[in-house]
Amino acid sequence: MTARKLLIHAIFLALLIAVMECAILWALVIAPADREQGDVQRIFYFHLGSIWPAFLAFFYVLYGSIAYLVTRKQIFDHRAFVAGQVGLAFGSLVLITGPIWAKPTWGIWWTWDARLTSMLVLWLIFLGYVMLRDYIDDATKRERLSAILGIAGGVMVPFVYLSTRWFETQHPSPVIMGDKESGIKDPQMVNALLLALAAFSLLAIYFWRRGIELVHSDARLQALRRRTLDLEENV
Amino acid sequence: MKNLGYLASAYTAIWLVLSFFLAKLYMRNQKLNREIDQLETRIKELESKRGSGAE
Amino acid sequence: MSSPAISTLKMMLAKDLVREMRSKEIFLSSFLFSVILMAAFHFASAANRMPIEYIPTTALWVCILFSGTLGLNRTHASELKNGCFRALMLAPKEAGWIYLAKVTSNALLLGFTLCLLVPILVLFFQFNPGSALFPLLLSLILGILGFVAVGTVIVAVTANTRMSDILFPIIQLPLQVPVLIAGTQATQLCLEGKTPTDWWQFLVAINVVYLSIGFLVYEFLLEE
Repeated sequence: MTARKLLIHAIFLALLIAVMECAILWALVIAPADREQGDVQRIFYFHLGSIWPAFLAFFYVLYGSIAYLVTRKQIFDHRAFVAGQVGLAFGSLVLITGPIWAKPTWGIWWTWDARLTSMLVLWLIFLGYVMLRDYIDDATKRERLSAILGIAGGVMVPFVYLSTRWFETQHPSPVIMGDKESGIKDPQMVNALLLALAAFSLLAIYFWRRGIELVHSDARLQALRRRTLDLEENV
Repeated sequence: MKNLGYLASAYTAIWLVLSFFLAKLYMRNQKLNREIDQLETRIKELESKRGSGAE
Repeated sequence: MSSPAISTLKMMLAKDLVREMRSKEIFLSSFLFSVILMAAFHFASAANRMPIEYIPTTALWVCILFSGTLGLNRTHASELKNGCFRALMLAPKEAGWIYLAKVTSNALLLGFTLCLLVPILVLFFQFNPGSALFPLLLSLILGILGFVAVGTVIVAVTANTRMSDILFPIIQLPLQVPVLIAGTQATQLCLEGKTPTDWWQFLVAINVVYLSIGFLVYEFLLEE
């Protein structure tokens, strides 16, 4: 790494840590507790904060996959794949924190509500996308096939969304208590939410950059291995 | 101040998942760099051997 | 329509259907599997006394989903076994038309299996389409086409993996959720005597989008 890159890296990391500290502070201390839900509502800041990077990552998978198939540049494949992994990590956060919030608020861990269902289905789709690569032995096909699956998965996203929405309108889900009275009203709550969004977006970008570096080194390692084998045979 | 247990478990879960992800990235990176270093020294060795053998 | 497209379509269809007539592989796996599924459905829903008139839609779509998955896997596997897929890669035909032909033949096979299932539904679950036959047929055709349009792409992707038998359903089924939701909703509404225009539009949209995606992407699947 050059000195300049290292400096940018350090500044980014400092910013990430500062924003993260503020986000935690606001979410846990400064923002007032929700009138109806009480302190559990504080889960919500980071719950929403993880949905945003997850969605962004999933759309990036679609974009990167198309870009790879069109240009055949490996960098797009790496970016798309790591975006899939990062999206999966934040998607897992959404799926873990959701039920923990729902239990004290709705009284149940899970309901087949449009938001929950679509998140689960998206998570499963992208789990398949990330898994696929480990099971392809032929390295020449790996990038192409995962790009195709990335497109197939990414294109399905709006349909998953629409179908679960419509599904819900026909089958009313259990009454969600406290939705009218509570919610984001206090300006400090808005601040907390914005900070959580910013913090997790920065964190997602950080993970993404590190992940891409990792895939790069992996590709380099494979090349070195081939070179070593080559040399060993010829010596 | 009710349901603090849920709040605590949610935040614990968030940080556990994130640190797990970060630790995985970091460990894998370490391992890859180690292997790359090893291979590079090995390649240098082999190349010098081949260079001296050819002369 | 250009004539090479038609000839590709014709040739592929003839090939797939003749092979199926000879081996009856898909018929055996999909149809018998579906019958077993329906029996399982009966036992699974008898315990909690689920009203029998609710079962047909559910049973029908679970059968489409699972026996369809089985069938797609089988057709593609036999294609690989005989080196047929390699020949397709080398064939001087446009990949998009090959994809559409495969979708058509897969949809025909699945549709045929389904036709055989209807009498069994009538027998087991007092299934009675009544006057809703035409809308019901439309829902099923759109649903099957959507299912196959997605599945034909995915099966060709997962066929290149080490555990394609397991990976195919795992990767494909989440992608089929919109088709499943729309298909069951449309079917149920038809049975209740309503016209599910919204869901038909939705299914048409999925079909249009997926058939065009497959048409464009299949070329990359046939690369060596």
